[in-house]
Amino acid sequence: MPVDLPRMVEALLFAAGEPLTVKELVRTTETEVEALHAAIRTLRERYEHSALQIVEIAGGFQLATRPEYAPAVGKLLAPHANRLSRPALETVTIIAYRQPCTQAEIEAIRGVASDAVLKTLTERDMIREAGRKPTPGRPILYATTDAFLHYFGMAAIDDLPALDEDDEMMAEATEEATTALAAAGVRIDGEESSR
Amino acid sequence: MPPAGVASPLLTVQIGTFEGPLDLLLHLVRAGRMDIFDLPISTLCDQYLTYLRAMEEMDLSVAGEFFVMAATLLEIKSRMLLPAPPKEEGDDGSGGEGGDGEPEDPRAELVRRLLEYGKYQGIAESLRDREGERRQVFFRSRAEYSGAFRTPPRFGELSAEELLRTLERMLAAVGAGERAVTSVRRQKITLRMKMREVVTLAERAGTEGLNLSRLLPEAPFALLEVVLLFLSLLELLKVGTIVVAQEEFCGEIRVFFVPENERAALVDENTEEGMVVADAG
Repeated sequence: MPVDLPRMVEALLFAAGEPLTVKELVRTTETEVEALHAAIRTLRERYEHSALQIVEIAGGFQLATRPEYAPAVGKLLAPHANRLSRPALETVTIIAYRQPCTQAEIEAIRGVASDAVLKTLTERDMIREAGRKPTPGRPILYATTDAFLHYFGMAAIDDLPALDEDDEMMAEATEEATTALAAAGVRIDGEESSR
Repeated sequence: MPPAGVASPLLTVQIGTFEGPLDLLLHLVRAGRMDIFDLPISTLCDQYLTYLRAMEEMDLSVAGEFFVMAATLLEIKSRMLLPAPPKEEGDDGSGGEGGDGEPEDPRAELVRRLLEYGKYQGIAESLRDREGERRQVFFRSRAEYSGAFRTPPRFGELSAEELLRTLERMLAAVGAGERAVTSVRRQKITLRMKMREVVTLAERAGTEGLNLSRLLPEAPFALLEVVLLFLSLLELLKVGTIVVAQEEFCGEIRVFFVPENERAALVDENTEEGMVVADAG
């Protein structure tokens, strides 16, 4: 079998065990970005009849099993870490959209103390400290990590659903409220809550 | 007194599963199919308080935030009952958004918070789905040799956190965490000791002289030791115990021992050369 670029990429992805960025792949295979993307496309075609797939995740490419085989693989391997609790999920969502943000900003939205949940998220590597806010008290700023992207199967932070579209309640409410808004005299608009 | 909906078993079961007052309020709004832009604040307030009471009865420790919200709701409710003051602005303390003469709805701030929180809750739910999907997919675990880094790393390849984590891993590997530093011995060097050392070495070198670089302590050296070396050289030059010579610019500086009987005459002449030594350092 000839050593072609797609196979070279395949070997690297197999050996790496972590997402490889385009940059890393280009450097290692000594090729151009265009050629590399073409190689990945070719490789994906070759993998169509395989139990494996090439996923774009956490800023790179990685080999993974296909979801159809989850039951079998799940039997073999130790179960994944526990799912995130609801408070943790909510908090990391807020951080993902507003990063970098402080604990106070998070608590203002959630309406509850968030120390414990921030600690859990830090321990699980979902968030990291991203400096300090240059305001009195210099509060810690939090941001999400590559592990966060990986955990939710996202290639980049842009993969997050758009903040205003994805909320059913908002969409629903906005429609029926357009008229009610004027009647009630409540000065609210959708944009405002995202400040 | 509690509105019918609250006493229903469905709602009772859910007591205690709320993340906070906003979560509870959103639940009440949704369950009661209330219009969020025209909140029936009186109903909402009653239901909320009924919940709080139920939570207390069940001996659940109710977080302080729930009571703060109860107070807020009661305040809004009471303000709703009052006619809006004709032309006062910004005195309601609820965000100051009604600054342009229009009296602000007392519910506005609460509604804003509910909407914002609801927005993130909605997204959190969709992230929950992604979490589930992602868990259907397995990756190879990190290879054993993942510690074998490509060196040197390119600029920007590693973040400060990664470096810190690596350092922690390395320290943990050598057990640095457990073997805490109990005492640090201070290396004792004095000017006198250094002078004696220079004289001894220079004397031993005889007429050939001694390269200055030989006198420098081995790396990693204490800064103090280097400072003391140069101080002692200057001092020895001053008293005439040694002379130094440099054959070319930036070249090696050689240190010569001066036997006691030849010293006195040299003192003045060599002060200049002493300065050279200091500059070279």
